[in-house]
Amino acid sequence: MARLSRRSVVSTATFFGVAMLTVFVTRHVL
Amino acid sequence: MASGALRVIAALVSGLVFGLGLAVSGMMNPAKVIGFLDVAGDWDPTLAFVMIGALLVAVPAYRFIPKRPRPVWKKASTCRRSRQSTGRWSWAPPLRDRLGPRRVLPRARGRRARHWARPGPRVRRSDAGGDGPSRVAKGLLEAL
Repeated sequence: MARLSRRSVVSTATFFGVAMLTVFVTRHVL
Repeated sequence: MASGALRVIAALVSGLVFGLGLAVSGMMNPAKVIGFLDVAGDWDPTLAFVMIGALLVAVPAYRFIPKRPRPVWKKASTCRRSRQSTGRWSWAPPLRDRLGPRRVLPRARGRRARHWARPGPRVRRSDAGGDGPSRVAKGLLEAL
């Protein structure tokens, strides 16, 4: 992320996106 | 003091600062992290502020560090500087070296394609330390 590379930004966003989705499913759907 | 010991101390201090930052910001509490991830519930944005704080330190450092010829407590840099004047390091051997000369990846376009297409030395996997027994394993084999 600190290198401001597109790949790092996309991978970090994907990581947090999947984590947020998981928390949403486990806390609000199931 | 030997540079090896200084490097160990630097790594130890870095780890302590990192852990202290996590402890002070409350990120050792799993409820805080889950609170950040739970956007549909009672959202807690403190983790975002911690990450922004880390980036405020790391982004200028990553701009400054590649301009140095080597680390402060090391004789030579182990990172390759990109041959193009991007001012960035390439952390792994360039793909061009791993593939061999004059081989362009099908999806490479523009500047990246020219970068890979430039003829360069072929790096054997044994030279890169990828294959074969490690130095420790070789020593053990010789001792037997």
